[in-house]
Amino acid sequence: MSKKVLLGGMVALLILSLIHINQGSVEVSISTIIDSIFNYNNSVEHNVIRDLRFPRLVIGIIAGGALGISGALFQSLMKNPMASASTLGINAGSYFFVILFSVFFPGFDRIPFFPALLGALGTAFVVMVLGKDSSNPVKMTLAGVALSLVFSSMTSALQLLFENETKGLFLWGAGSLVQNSWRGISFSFPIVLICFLISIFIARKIDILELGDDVASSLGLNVNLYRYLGIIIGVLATSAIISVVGPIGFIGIVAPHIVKRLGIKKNSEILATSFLVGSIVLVGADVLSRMFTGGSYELPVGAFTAIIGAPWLIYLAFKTSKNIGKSSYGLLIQTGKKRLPFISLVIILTIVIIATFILSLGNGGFDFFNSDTAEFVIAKIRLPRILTALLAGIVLAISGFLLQTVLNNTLADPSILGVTPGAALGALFAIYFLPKTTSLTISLSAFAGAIIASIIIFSISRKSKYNSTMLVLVGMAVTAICDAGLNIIIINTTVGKSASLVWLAGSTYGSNWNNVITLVLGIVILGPISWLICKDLDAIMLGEDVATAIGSDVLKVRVIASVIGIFLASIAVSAVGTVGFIGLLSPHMARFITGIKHRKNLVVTALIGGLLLLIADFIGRIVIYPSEIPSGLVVSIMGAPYFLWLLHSTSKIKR
Amino acid sequence: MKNIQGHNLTIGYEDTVIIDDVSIEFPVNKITILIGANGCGKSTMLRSFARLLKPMDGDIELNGRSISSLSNKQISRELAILPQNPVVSGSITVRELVEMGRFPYQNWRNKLDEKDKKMIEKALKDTNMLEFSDRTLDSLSGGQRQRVWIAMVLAQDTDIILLDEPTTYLDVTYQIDILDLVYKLNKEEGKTIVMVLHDLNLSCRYADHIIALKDKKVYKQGTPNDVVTKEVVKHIFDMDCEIIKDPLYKTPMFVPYSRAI
Repeated sequence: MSKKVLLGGMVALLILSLIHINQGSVEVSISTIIDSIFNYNNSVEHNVIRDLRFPRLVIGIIAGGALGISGALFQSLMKNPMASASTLGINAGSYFFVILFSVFFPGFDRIPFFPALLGALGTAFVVMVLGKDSSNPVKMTLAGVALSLVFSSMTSALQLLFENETKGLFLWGAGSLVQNSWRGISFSFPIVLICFLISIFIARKIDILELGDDVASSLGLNVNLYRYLGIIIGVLATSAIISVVGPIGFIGIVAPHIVKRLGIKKNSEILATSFLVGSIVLVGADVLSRMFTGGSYELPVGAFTAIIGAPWLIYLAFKTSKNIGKSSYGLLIQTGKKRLPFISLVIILTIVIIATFILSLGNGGFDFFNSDTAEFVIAKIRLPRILTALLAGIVLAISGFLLQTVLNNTLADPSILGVTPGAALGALFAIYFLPKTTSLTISLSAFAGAIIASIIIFSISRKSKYNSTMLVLVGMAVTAICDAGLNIIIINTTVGKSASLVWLAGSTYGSNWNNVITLVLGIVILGPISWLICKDLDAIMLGEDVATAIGSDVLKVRVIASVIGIFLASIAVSAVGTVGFIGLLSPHMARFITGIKHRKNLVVTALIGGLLLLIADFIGRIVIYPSEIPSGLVVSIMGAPYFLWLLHSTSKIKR
Repeated sequence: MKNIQGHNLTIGYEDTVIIDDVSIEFPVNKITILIGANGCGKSTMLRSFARLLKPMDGDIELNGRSISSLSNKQISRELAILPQNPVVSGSITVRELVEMGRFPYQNWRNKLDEKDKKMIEKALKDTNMLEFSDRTLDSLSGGQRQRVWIAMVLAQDTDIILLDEPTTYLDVTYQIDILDLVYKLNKEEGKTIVMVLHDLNLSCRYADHIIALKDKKVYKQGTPNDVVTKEVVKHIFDMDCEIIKDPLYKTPMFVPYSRAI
């Protein structure tokens, strides 16, 4: 079986390679290709083949293979069929560290292997620690997704603040096989080769490990040694590849799955064929992406693998969601030892919000109180802006709050579900492709994007009765597709890059009264409905079975609450761009201090969310005046440490 | 009004049929226990009666009306179920969880009235959990936690109570403790109780009526003395045994043969 697969794979790879080499602005015949190897004559054609086309092909083969084996290793060693460098956040972590490195060492001309490795190892470690005690692969994956969110928001912070130092890395950051020498290959090939050999060497041990830790150790295997060795090998191979071609998603998920579908079971064979299949998929994707564009614009292969890999992920979700979603499980939240009295808490929060509001209104980078224009500036610019921050914070917080209970997961958030990325794609579409860009068209387009993304997510997961696993996975897939779209747009345009980055980073800059009106409408209409439905959310929090048993119509409530949550998220995103974390963190803080009742939590969550974005807006305006830090980034920077602590603490919530 | 019966039920998941065309009626004011080998569909059937799983075919009748014609809320005022091993956040307090048992009686204002409060107190008292009412679930032992769940079910104030393996994962002390509690509820308040239990001997001790399932059908039902015989055990568990009298309560007691000793 395995021999046939290998042989067939080789042939496929060879054919793809020939097509691959022939792609480009200059036509070359096969004889020229052969001549360029054996009869090199320093002609332009030969040089193009030797220095551009061969390196691109070879790095494609190496990268695809390395991602394939690392995916296979992660999946079996973490006991998680959805594990891969992209789903676990390793890609995003690695990318962030490379960007960070290039900001501090702008002139550094080497391959950024060590920062990539540092980021990858760190992320893998965190995800492993978080997912260690849980046998639920979705939880680990969700931690990975959330971690990616943290990293990518910090990455866009750096890209925005250090535009010059990082602008050369956009194409790389989207994952591109473009090479102009053999340098990347001679660097990555030895590392990948060594990783490959070691992984084949320990494949027998992995077979035993897959029987379960207890069985494996009673069979005399040093479980931890081989598990960590295998994962480190996977991380090493991945970082070597990332440092050369950038983060390329989905190969690590797709390749091992194709291999397993072919009926291959032994890990030595899985690893070898995963390498081959990974190469085929990546080279094939590169061929297809260039065919698709006809060379007219650059379609980074990383974006293309996302577009073809995301449906695969959805298919996978379909297959796994049946086994995972346990209807007896409720929402596992954590509250503090002491809960504060509700009324006094609300009063305190309101006072703090009013104080911050006044402070923020009166202070800017420039003290307007002494000038004649003061009234004008405050009424026309600052007031709507600050109000937008407050209201958008409230809206985002409520949205996250509803979605968390509905999806039975305290790590859920509109940005994880794919709603926010959909909105972002919509907004960028408006910025670049609509003839006249006003804030209204951007908002409308963002809103449309969010709605389309939600419709896709919900219609696909309808069959599984909106099973939370399914929603998360489909959200992940939709996010990947939207990100690919964003990357394609940003790479292929030169005008307005900075404006779209500001929007993507989430900004209250330039908010006007229209934003305020939309947000107020959203809160006035959907707020009371949310409050009413909170009664049923108290029941749903006890798990689907118990909620049904005590008389709550779980499916109906879930649909209503999700629709409200998504609607609110879209409103907020169309007003302030992609602000993450508020929807994730405010509900958690509120639950921690007020306890489990949803109605009380709703109020406190909304206040905390509003306060957070208000503060973020204020800080963003004054710290580096006259420049500004987008409030979304301030939130991310404030929220990241809290979020890591949250991930850590949710991994050991007692039930 | 304690009547629950199923007519021509076919139950299963997707394309696997687990219970095939079975009609069943649980005796009123009695304790009925479902027994059978692993995977014979005991829990699946119980879930169906509690409308947690929609039957593929057939109808369930609750107090004379078809269950599919009743609102979820209406059902939960007449029938309570404790699902198998529910998992919730350990930060919930005992009282908060028991209060959720009053959910079917509350309107949109979500406020507890005098009757609600009385039922909650009674449920806490009946399960001996009153003194723990402000403790969080994660500070309780497994047996105490199961008592809290039963208190929640009691707060629902229904005449019919279904329990899906209420003693699984519990030490033997707690198993007896929980079953005694159930027994008391049946005797003192006349509640109709249907449970799934794994332990054959405890089933005989506590049940008025036993239903043995095998091969997607009801193999035999009746009093413990009628059902738990050498032949039936041989058939449903594929195991040879002797049936003796429980020295304490005179109910049938099963002593399995070993195949090795």
